[in-house]
Amino acid sequence: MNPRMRDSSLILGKAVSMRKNKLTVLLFIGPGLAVLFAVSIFPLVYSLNLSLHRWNIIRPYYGYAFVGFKNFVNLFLDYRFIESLKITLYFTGGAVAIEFIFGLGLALLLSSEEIRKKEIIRIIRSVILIPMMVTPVVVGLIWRYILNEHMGVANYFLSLVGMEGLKWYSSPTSALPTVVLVDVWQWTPFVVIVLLAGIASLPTTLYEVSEIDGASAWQQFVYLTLPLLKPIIIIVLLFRIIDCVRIFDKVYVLTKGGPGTATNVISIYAYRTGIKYGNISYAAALSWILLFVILGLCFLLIKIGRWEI
Amino acid sequence: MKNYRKSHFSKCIKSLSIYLAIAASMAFFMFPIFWEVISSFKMPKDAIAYPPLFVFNPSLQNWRYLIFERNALHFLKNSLIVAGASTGLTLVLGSMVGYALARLKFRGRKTLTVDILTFRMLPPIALVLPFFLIMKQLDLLDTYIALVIAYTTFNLPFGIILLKGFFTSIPPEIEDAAMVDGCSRFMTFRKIILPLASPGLVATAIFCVILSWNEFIFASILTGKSTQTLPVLAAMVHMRYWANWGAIASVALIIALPVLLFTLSVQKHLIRGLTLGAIKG
Repeated sequence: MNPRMRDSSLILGKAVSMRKNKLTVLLFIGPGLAVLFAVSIFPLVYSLNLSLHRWNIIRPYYGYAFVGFKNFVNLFLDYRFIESLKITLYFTGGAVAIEFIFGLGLALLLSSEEIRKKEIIRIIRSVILIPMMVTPVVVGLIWRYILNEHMGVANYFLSLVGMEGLKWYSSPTSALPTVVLVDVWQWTPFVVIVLLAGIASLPTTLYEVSEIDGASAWQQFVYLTLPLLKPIIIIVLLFRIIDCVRIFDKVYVLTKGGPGTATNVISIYAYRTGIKYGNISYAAALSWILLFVILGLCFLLIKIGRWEI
Repeated sequence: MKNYRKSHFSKCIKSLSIYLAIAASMAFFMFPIFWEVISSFKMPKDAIAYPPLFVFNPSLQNWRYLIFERNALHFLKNSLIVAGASTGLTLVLGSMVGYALARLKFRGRKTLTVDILTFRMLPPIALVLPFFLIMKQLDLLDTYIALVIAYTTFNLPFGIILLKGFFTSIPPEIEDAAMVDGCSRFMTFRKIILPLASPGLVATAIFCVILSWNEFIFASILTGKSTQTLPVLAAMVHMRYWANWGAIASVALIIALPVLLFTLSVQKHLIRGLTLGAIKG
């Protein structure tokens, strides 16, 4: 606004500049929000509406009828849904736990006195990013190759140490741990990097003082490191939990939900029901339940984020 | 004297074990990549040999198969188009909304920020199903538009939040100076803020490209023969010719390599961009 215009608006009062301000705001956020609304909110509402009806895309002759909450009720009575909930829970719990322990251990090792100042840390930090950057589909394929029970390298290495080859993803009992292993491979680096940064930001003075007071390394860890890292740990855990609950690509490529239903996580079950078997309204209801779970976790994340940060 | 030697010894053991643990972990993370790269150069029969071959005659057969028989370049082109378009859209729209959230004061600014963050966390499956039906009804299946719109769903929220951070870190005095000199908000935005925030724009673009490139579930459902992207190719090569592990390794490499090289080469910019956003003034 050039000075002359500013004077006149002062005379006209706040109203003019306020209206201009509102227009500006609209200009800036209008297009973006409109697109966001169209691509996010609209499909979600559509999906919610869909879940309240009955529609099968393979059998359209079943008709499109309003059935209220019947889909949701059926879901909770569906043993396969309960099973997929359990499987998702086991997967998430196992993967996040291992990623956390492994990641924390590695981060501590990398922060220890011996390693911390070496040049190699920079190389390690760049290189360890790689698993996170690889396409999940590709990760699934690579590991499918490595863990093949007949000619995979993994079984070869096992045979070198005298163990029998495992069935990895081909057996119903070992399929889920195998998927956990693959996720651990891809995402532990994330935990390592975040925790590494967190540990690096801890005040060294506290440690020096505690050492003077005679604290052992273990005591330092439990009473100093862990509590100080708590906010970061919680955020890392929540991020991983949210991502694990949503998982699809890796499982699809590794096992497609099988063998049988051994790795039938919620996303895969919804995909199967909706696309493969056509029962898309049921699948929509299913995906909305997943959505609620994730929204709840997000809410938690935001609450905690506001607290600690 | 004796004590010194003993503690020195135990210190050596400690260092050694730390080195070993780190080395073992690095081997765990790097081996699959290594195995993947060398396997892509194996001939089909070498790829399924047991015991697995570490030494073999390298061949480009898999690559030839992928490019000429499976038309991998077509998928590559599709991936590039979709990633580029979605990133462009995100940058344009996202920068405007991000700027508004950072600078302009209006009601509901805080809640909007929070809501947008939540969008990022949505499970893809919840959006894929309605998207499929909507695109089917609009007859937009197997078009680039469908996929670009779909990817904007999660690229845009992410971009908005990221760019908001960058805009917040630019000192407002510069904008005020520009506006006193006669620039409108929009002109200030275009001529001054955007160039200043270019590391942030680059960082956002990088994330968007990576996300769009790696995406699978939307791609497999919304695309058809003419618009399928690389991840879909990977799944297809695996399903139909699942004995051809060499080719699978090559597909994996075609998909992963551009992103990896791209990421590692712009890593410096990325980190600079991210930390610039975090430092105020």
